[in-house]
Amino acid sequence: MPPTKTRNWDASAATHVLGRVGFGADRERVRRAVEEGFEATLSDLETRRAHSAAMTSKSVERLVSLGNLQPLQARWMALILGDGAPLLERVTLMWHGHFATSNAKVGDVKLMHRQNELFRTKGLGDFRELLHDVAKDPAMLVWLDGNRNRVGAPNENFAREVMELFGLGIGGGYDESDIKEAARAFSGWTVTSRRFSFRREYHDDGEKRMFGRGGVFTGEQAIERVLEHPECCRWIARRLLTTFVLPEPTRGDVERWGEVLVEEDWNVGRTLARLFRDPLFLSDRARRSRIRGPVELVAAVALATRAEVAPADAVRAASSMGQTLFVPPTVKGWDGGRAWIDPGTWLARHNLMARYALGDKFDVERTYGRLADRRAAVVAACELLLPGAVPAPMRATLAAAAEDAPSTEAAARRVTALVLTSPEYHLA
Amino acid sequence: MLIPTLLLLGAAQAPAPDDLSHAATAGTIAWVQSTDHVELLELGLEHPLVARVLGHPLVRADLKKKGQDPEAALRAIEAIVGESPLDLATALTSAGVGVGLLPADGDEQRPYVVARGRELDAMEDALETLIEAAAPFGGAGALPNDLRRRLGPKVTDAWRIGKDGAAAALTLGGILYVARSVDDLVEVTGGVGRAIDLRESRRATGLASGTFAWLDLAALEARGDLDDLRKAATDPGMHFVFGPVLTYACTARSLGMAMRIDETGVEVRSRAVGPDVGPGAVTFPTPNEPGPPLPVRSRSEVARAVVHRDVATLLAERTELFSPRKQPGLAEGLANFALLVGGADAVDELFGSFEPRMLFLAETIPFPKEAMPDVALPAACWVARVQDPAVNGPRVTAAFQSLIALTNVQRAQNGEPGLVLGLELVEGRTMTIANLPPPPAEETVDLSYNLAPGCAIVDDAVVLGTHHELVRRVAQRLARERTAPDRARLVDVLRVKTSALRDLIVDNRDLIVMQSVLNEGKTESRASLEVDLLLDIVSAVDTIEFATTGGPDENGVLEATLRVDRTR
Repeated sequence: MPPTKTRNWDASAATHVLGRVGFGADRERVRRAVEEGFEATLSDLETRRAHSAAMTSKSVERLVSLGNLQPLQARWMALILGDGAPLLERVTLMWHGHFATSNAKVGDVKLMHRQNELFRTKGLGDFRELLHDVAKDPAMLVWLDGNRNRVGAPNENFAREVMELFGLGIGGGYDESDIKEAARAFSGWTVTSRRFSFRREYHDDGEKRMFGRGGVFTGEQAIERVLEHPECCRWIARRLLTTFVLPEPTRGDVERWGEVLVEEDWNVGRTLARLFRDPLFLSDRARRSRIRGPVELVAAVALATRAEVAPADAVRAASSMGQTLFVPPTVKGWDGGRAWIDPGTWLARHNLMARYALGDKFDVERTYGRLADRRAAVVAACELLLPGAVPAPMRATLAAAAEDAPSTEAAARRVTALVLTSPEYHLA
Repeated sequence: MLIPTLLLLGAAQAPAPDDLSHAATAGTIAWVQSTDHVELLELGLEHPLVARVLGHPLVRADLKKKGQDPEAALRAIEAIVGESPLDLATALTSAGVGVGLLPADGDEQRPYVVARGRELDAMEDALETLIEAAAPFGGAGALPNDLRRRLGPKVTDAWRIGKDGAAAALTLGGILYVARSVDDLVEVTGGVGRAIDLRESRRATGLASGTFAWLDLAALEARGDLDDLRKAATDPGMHFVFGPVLTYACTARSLGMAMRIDETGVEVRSRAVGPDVGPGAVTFPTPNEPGPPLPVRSRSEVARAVVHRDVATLLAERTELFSPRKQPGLAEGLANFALLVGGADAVDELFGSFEPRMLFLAETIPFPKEAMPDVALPAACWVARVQDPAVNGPRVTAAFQSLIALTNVQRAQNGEPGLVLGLELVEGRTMTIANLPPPPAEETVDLSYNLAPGCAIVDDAVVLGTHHELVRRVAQRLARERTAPDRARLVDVLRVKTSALRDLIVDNRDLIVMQSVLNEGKTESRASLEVDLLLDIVSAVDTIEFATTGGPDENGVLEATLRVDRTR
């Protein structure tokens, strides 16, 4: 049963919802969420479509025409930091990781932008439609050499990833022959003048057998066969669970939410709506169970502290911590979870967070309001950044650090730096 | 009354010309003087420029954010001082104000100020008012006699100011000196007139009034302040980009700059004295060097630069001029270039065949409707005179065609359509052109569609351009008529017509705003206001011209002039 205004709904729960469904929130938004209740808060995150007009205008196309990746990355980060459509941008980021495509190989910013807009426009809709569209997305075809797949000289990259990464998962009930047959079905799919095109002369017209059944002739039919596979809904449910709820869902969780996805006619938005309102979402299992990815971390800090950060700087910050938008490391995307943290990336996280909290971009008053004294600084930082999650020894350490500071402002900066660099903060 | 009786013999003398350079003392390492401020002081916030700046929404927003109000600030000072601070400043500096810097004393900077008013009586009154007003801030008063005597007989009055030991003195000539300490004041007033280099530089820059600045680069170098600048002078890349005059100005003994502002615009002249033109000084023009072929000006011209860049010599001397780290890359580049020109020695046979004075030209052009880039840039071309055009002209054409072919290989590897080569006849000369195929009708058009290169040989002139439309126009103009070369002494000259720049900003306003939001984190409204301000500035300017003159004489002088003409 979802929480109500009076039951199980407090700043900690509100922060969890605001940070999971969206990217985070400042003090005022958390206060308002507590006041408005769970349903109103969630509904706002799900439905808000208030992106800055400039960032969605025709000018974006002209920006993309310049051919540089950096403005495209910054524009997406601006949409994230602008908080105009929280769930939509989170889902877009999720599909970018799921259908990981890198400009390092595609080398065409316009195609990357188009793919990004595809995730934005269809990411919350019918997954089947999304998979069909992604399969014909020019960036994807270039990325996985789908455009070089011809009869007699099949290229299996795309077919392999449709099963291994996009639709079924590794060990998801298919074998090499299924991949080879699917590759035959996709032959002739190519890119002409940045558009998908089908070259009949390169297509293998013969019948293909997938998952033990014949009757597949075209690429579209191969996609349908993948979608019909019982593992497909589970694989997508797993992606939704690991992105929004918990990093290691049980087999039972996956099966249940796979069924919900099918019940909801593969509609991602409706499935997520049910997931967010399920007790699992606010359960102890779910809270502080995920390691924030670099983009999530940068956005969470910027939104919580109302930082006036340049989107391009935020992109660089996330990149230094291991997540460069539009340039995932492999076709698998970012491994996420514990893989976000290694000695190098932890040092980058630590340095960036400390530098931010102690630097002039961090505005103490804008973040916490007027602070009466050093003790108030500790309370404010804990309530905003780690509500209900600061163990007593940590609170004592923070209090001691604040007492040593030469002023209340310095105390707030120190405490913020300590919280942001604590392992606890990197879990969300 | 804090001021002692003034015995000013100079009171009846006519004001000297508005030049305070003779008041700079020997040992001054940096100096700035001005009379341009006088009109600003006289009109204060009513001055059209000040009113325009303060009235600009961007400035208003900034002042509001910082809680600042210039009018209120002036009123507050007036309440303390008892008179308008602008009137006082006018009285003290109406015939000029200068700020000098003496060599630092350890970490302590040693600035001093020199000022002169046109009316000595008004100056005295203003001083009296200020010294009275200084009382609440540590006070001011007559300098004790023993210290006063150290300043010498030309000083009519002297004061201590505040608690920190600063001192001021008024001389017979009606010049006010203010320094950080009595010792500095003694040095400043005692060495007056001995800053010979500075005075000579002031005289030689030739602008009778306005603002003048001077730097003793040798002294600044001794302080370790100029390491980067000095290093830049030996960088071949700097030579290529900025030309010999600006590059070798970095090695000069001193640098003087004068600025004059009047109703027609702004002129800045700089004069670098005693450049160290050591090894690598290979890129100054010789006296009889031929100029580049110059086409007549077009109304669509955006910028025109005639520059001297002796690429052949720069490359021939590459083992001496470039660092060892860059040598392999250079060798590889030249070998590859040799392939483009059919195996000829790129340095001797091709670069060596071009005269070093060359023309860079930028003009706006119409784009084909079906391939109008989303961001349409002006076209640019390079024009140079080539020796033995019958042999070298075809080499250049072949190199151009090979370059297009190589580009196409790379584009094919990326799955991009190639440039299509073509030939055209222009005024009886063959022009090679290359085009990207038109994009599909529903596509937006990339920046790359700004590239439609062309190459033409017109008699002894090579014309290479980013857009064959411009190459065609230039080739036609060169074939029909050529203009006279620029003034002979000029090394480089650059002329920019700002109307096209303004159009470019207007056409791409949304992009500029967006880039500012994304890269600098500004709000849209602030970024928009900044673009408005930029447009205001650009609209107020008609042309910008920058020219350099000088030669590789060890005791010589390198000069540069920047002229900004206002829109009429």
